[in-house]
Amino acid sequence: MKNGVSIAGMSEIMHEIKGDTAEGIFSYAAWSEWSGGETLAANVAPAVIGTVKSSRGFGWRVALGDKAAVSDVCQSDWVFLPEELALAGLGSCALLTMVKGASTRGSSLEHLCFKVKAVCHRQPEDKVVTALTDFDYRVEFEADAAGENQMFQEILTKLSNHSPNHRTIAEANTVSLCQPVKAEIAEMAPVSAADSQTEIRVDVHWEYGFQLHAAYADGLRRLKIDQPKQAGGIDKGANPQEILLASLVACLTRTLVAHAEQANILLDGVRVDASGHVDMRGMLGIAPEVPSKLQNISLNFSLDSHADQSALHDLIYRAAESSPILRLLVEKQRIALHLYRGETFITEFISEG
Amino acid sequence: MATNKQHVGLSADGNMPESGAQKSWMDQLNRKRVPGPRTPYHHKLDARTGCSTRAVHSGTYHDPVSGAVGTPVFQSTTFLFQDKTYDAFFEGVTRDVPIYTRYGNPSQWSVQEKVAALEGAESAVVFSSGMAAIATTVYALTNRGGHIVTSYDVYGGTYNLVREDLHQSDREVSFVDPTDLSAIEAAIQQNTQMFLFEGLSNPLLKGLPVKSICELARKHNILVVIDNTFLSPVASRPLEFGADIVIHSATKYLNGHSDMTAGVASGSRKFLDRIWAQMLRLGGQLDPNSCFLLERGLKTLALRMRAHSENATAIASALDSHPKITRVYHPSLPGYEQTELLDICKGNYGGVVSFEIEGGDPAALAFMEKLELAQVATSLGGVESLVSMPFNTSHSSLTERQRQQVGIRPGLIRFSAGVEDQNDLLNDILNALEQI
Ligand SMILES: Cc1ncc(COP(=O)(O)O)c(C=O)c1O
Repeated sequence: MKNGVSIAGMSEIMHEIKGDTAEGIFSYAAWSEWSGGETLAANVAPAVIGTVKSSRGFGWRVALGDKAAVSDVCQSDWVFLPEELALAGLGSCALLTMVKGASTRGSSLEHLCFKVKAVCHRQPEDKVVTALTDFDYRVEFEADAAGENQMFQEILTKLSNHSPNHRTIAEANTVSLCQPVKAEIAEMAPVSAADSQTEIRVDVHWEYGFQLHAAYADGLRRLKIDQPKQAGGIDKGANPQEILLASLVACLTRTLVAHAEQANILLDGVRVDASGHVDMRGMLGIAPEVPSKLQNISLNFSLDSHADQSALHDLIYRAAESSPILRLLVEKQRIALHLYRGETFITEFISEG
Repeated sequence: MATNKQHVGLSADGNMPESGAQKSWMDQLNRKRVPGPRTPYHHKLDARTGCSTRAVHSGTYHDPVSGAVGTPVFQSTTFLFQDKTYDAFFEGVTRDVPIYTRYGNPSQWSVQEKVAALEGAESAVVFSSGMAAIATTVYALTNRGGHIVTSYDVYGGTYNLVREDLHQSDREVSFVDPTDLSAIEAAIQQNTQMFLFEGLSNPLLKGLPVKSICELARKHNILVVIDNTFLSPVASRPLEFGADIVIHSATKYLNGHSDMTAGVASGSRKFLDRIWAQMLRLGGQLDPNSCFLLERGLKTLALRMRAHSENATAIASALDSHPKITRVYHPSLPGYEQTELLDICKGNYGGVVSFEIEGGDPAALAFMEKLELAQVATSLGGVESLVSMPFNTSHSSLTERQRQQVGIRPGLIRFSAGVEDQNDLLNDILNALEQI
């Protein structure tokens, strides 16, 4: 065990995937549900790690509006924003990739934190989020003497090429709508320059092994992150891809409900399902031609409403086209990375598709 | 006098991940899963050898110092450390290096290798009981929020585990008739992770359609765990048909002498490593002395299974037309419905035969009293014949209605034929029947 990670376990999974590509397809899914009220539920569905299924019992409440909710009494009262989930998904994936890289190189980590920021664009009058841009990771680490600064610079470069969620947003993607409407979304309308811009941030802290937590600015809300035990974790929380997909379904549900309201369409319920997979050959560096990112991202919608079908289909398109998290996946993003050992600056660079 | 530094040392030589500053990324790591654990001194047989040969020789530890023909009993809880032991800790290969007996001991490795060879598995883990093997496997291979499909007529201890404990760790369970493929398919949910069935059911000897179940499971990424206690690897090797894990209560046929309690799980190294890691935390490993007994018992497995099966088949045939017997349950009898089992087992169905005595439970209890050779006791698989009634033993935790649902009717007796002379067993049974 190095940093709570079984090196042998990582090595064995890597060789298994080298021998059988089917074992390298890690499929994830999330779904959201809304049936009235100010919040929706975003949940993680079972994953398939290669050929083995993993049950996943994780979920969050997400706000329809622009206000997260905090309670210091009851964690089940915590309410997140889709953008907050997305940032946790990005930071945690990059951080886990760094833990794997450092462990592979035999360095013991004492501390590792990814402070993730992005610019959140909103329509000036009604606070609707339109986009997340200008991502920024401040990476702070402490390690034993074996982990020289040069080594961590290399790991940071590696992670910018291999972290699946990082690559997902750095590159352009096509997202498929499957049910009840079929469409491929490969571009989005430009964001209006008139939108207001605010900063959104989350700090992702490494605990041990693949266990992390994302901490939000209110100082109370936290989100647990881990890998499935089939992939070397201990099931303490959802994994980074699942959190990213959960942010997507939550965001789509939110935009659907908002558009329905504007169009005077009465909705009794909404369910959105998202799935995607990572071909781990890319992440592990086994096959350079294989992209290390979420692929085959596809969406299913189910609307409970008496409105006519064409109006509902139109609603789905409009929700998809205006979802800031869908935009995040479809468009290339620019991410700045800064590396600090404790408080000491080491290096920085820009990562782009 | 050997010092710490001079002992030969058994290690995962040549198969360490070799992490370090020179490894730029994960693709550079060296370790692959290999069968075992085993050392160069554990006898590894060619896979083409027959099962009697494997039962005798596979896994025997050939001690390089003494030349002992049999495996020494490594009655030690702990093993000398060397540099490689520390490497094993850092790199996470502690299953392949003797460190501490809960982690692994060459006595365990011998018997694990033997069972793995018999089942056609890469790896096995021995446990202190069959239940330890089952519980550890179920917990290791499912997650919180998972769903398991099993049947009401699994062994009572297994039934109690899945009914009383699994919901407490947020695992759902569904019960189906394991011979009804469409019922199994209908029970599948999005979160179904495991089918947990017995190859030959207790006490009605219903044969599992194991090949079709494995095909169905594959389509849905569901793991198949088969409790093969009643059949033994001599009769059936479910891994060959696509099962992922085979479990035994080694207390029964594998040890075969009713003098120790043990369990074993076997399958791919991938899954057995996870079961092993769970075992480390739950602590159900088998101690070295019991490993010795189990390894010795296993050497005669093929011989014993032949005798058990011949005796049970002869009893089934003799009782099938007996006026005081209303029904006999045995795969060898005409009209046996689960024909897939007949193809698999080729005449060896283990030693259990069940039958219903006219006059119901009171008559059956009276019959057991009159037996002189066969002992009235629970369990099975030992060299001596044992007889018991499911309603007041293995299936006593089911309600009357549940017993009816699985087909356990009044007067049902489970007879575990030992390896005694066939005529003596038949005379004992026929004499007892005459007296009721
Ligand atoms: C089919 C079957 N599985 C498992 C077990 C449990 O094994 P043990 O008693 O060794 O724990 C038994 C015991 O009777 C059994 O018959």
